[in-house]
Amino acid sequence: MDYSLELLEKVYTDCLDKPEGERLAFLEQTCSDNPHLKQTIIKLLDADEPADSFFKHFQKTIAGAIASEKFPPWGPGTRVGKYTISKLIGKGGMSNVYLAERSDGEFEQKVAIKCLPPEVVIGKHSAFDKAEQQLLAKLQHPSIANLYDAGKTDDGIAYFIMEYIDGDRVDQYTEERKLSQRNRLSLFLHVAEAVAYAHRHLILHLDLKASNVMVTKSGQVKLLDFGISTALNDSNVQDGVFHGTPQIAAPEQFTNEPVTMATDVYQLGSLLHQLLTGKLPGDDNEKLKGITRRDISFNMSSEKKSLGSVSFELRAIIDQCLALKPSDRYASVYELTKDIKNFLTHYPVNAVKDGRTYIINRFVRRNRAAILSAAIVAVSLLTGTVLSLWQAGIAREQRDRAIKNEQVTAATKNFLLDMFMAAHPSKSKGDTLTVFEFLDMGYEQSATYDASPEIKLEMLTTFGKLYRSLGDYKKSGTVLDSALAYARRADIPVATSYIQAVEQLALYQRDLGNYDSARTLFSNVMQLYDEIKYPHLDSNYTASLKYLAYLLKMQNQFDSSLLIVKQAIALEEALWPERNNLKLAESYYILGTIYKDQGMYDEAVTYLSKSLSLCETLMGTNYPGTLANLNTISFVYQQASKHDSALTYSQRTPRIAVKVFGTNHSETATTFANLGKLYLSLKQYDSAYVHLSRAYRIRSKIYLSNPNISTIIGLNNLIEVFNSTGQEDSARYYLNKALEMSRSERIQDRQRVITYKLAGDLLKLSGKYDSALYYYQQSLTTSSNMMKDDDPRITYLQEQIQQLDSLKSVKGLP
Amino acid sequence: MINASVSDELTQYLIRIGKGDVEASRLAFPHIYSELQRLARSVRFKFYGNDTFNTTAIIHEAYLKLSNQDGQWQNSSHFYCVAAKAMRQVLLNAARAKKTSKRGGLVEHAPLEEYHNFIVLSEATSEKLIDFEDLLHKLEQQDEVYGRIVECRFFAGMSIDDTAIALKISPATVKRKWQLARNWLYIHLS
Repeated sequence: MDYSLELLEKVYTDCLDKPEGERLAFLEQTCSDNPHLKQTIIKLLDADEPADSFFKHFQKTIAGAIASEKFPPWGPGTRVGKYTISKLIGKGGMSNVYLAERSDGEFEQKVAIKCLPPEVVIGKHSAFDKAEQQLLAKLQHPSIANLYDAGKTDDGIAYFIMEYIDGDRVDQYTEERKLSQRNRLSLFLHVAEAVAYAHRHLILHLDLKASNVMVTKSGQVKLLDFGISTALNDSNVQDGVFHGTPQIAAPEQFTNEPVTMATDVYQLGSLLHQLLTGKLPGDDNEKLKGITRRDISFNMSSEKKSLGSVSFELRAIIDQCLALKPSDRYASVYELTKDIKNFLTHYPVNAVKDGRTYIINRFVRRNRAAILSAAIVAVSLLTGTVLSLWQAGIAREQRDRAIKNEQVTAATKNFLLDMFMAAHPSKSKGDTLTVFEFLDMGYEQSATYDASPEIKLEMLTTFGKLYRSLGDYKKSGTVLDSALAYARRADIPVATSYIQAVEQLALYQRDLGNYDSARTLFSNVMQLYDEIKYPHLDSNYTASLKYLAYLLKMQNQFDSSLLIVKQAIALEEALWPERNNLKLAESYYILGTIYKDQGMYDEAVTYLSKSLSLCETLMGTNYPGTLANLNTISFVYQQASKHDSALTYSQRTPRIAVKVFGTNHSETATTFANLGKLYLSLKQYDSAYVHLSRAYRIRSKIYLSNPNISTIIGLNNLIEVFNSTGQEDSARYYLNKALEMSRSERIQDRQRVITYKLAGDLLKLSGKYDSALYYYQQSLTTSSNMMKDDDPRITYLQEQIQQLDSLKSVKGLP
Repeated sequence: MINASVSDELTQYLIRIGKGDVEASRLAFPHIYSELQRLARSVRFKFYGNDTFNTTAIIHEAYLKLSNQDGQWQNSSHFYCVAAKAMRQVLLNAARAKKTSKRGGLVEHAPLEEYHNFIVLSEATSEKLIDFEDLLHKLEQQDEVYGRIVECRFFAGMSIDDTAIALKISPATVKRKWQLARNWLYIHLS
């Protein structure tokens, strides 16, 4: 050296401080007396990159020298058993892998031969012995590379003859093909299932790194080196050094604790991490290089940055695999695969420990459609809620009854809960969520649910619908209002989902009896359709028309209603020229009921019959629509005083109701009650009693002794039967019940006046004129508020009161 | 198996090294040296098929082994620093052994236990290492810190910051001197 290091350092540093353009001039000036120093610094300035790569390469050279000096490769043509080496295809720290072909010419077969230096096959737990075990175990699995044979050469080199896999390493395969997460997971599942298979044969892998997982050109996963790595680990464990791959090794492999299936689970977690992120766990952290592998494990939870784009569920799955304590990991590979499948099918992932809200979130995600259908099924089962068209129009009386009835039966609640929980049985054990709790949480969750605004709106709308279905109108209104507010805030383009939200709100107002608000909202719906130029030849559009028509009918605006439903029918008949669609059956039904309400009985029967035959043709006899048509036709004939015709239709109904709704269902009860009532009008008291009492029994089961409109109607009917047949004792028994119930605010005046009237009838029959008079007067007072003065019922009461008054004066009672 | 007493002894040395005790460094050296020498060969096994195998990995392995499991080694930099020097020595000895032993068959004929104690390098690598050693020695003669920095950075793969901590100098100095040493060694080696 013609310069001191101190000088070199000073000039070099100063030079680096100068802008690049001035460095040369600076050197000329500074080193004018030392050309060697100048030359050296000029070289140094340009050396950054090549020097860096030189030293990296030098490190590799040293490592390579350490690793392979001892173990010269076999050249092509070397014979190993029945095979001839073609070429070296892989080289590791201690093993070489060759491609070889059968040399006896028996049949063409390419194999891979892996050979290991003699020292690893010495000792009683040698790799060789282990490999033999594996040969004995005969692992035969499409995702496991076959091990054909194992042996030792004369100079002690152990070789393993394996299926030759022409493919890519799994990590390269996924990266090169830019596989989607789903595809990566599915690939991983194949790996895991192969490992699970081996576990069933009591073979651990213990070196599940990416380079041991190949994917063939046809996409078949192949696991390499089963059993061989196990053997290596065992054979060398005595010197206190574990011989796996440190990056993926489980903590127990470092500490020489027993390896188990959980060790493979750990490594699978590591592989999963790599497949999802392209990196091994903790790989991207510079600092980790300076600390121990154990520390890496400890720090894993705080080093999840590399999992940034991976969902928290998959993170939880990986975390559970990578748990430090084997007992904290998945108990088996099967459990791990199950959880990944859970994830893929939107079921709750067991690794996520965070309870209910999470489960609901998953449920909602998985089952947006199912929630809707659950709502529909629930609605058809719920006592007294009107959503299903078929149940909506049976009779005005029934509808009122339904709307005001806030009770949701326990049975229905449980049914709905079962439906929700059936989605995830393992979570339902011992869980005492009520439907409302469930909905409340789902709803709250949906607020923070990360989804597109459209999906979010749809979810909110669904929740609104569900609340309405379950009779929680207040909540339904709140939810639907917030759905709309959300839609406006999120600036969602007016689309079907938005229109549906408005429509739900309209239906909600309708069910509440706020017909004017409902009407405004429905007009809004129709405007929105126009705004987005929504095609009229579309079943959503016609469905909205029908809702509107039905609403107008409720408001007794028969002309507009008729006009609109006919418009809907015209469109639907154009949509389905063969006219074999159930939606048309609905439309005919609505048209029929409008005619019915207008007293146009012939037209009503015409359309209801059309609807009936469509329902029966398309859906068979046991269908709510069939039942609704039969009931309504019967009702029309009764109005027209054609009781015999009415009876032919009504008689069919109980069987259908039992089939469709089951024995103990309010709809079934209603059907029995209607038929009983018809018999009552026909004065066939025995048949009337049979059906009415059946209806009463069903309702008692559903509602117990709680005040309920249906129950009191049933009681009233029964009292009428007993009054009519002079069975005073029975009549009195039911009358007491009815009177007691009539005190409840749940009961409407409409039912109360009948109970009072019946009380008057019975008491009069028993000669208790004072009491009779009292009840007749009660009935009259209330009736006057809701009926016209010339209503026959008013007239009847007035007559009775008059009669009793005169009786009183005749007998001279006080 | 891990020798607890060696580990405890090392722990004491490393604490002293942390306080700037040069003598402790000298005392820790043989323990780490013998461990590295032993490990260098056997560690290969665990890296088979893995291209990340290098001297850093061997040192890392030694750390794992010697640090025991009680996590007492608050600052691993001191260990790595001593180990880097040991690694340098292990390699130099192996390179010299290769050069002087024209037989070259030592490995093949040595009994297995003996084999465990040697690192075997190729002739070309041995020569390269010796050249490298001579050049580094020149730098060290003028400024001892250069040798330490190259040991830490090259043999132990330590970061600038860790090297700075271990050598009790500023990271900027480490960076500057490492850049100079690396480039200087490179232009003279190639």
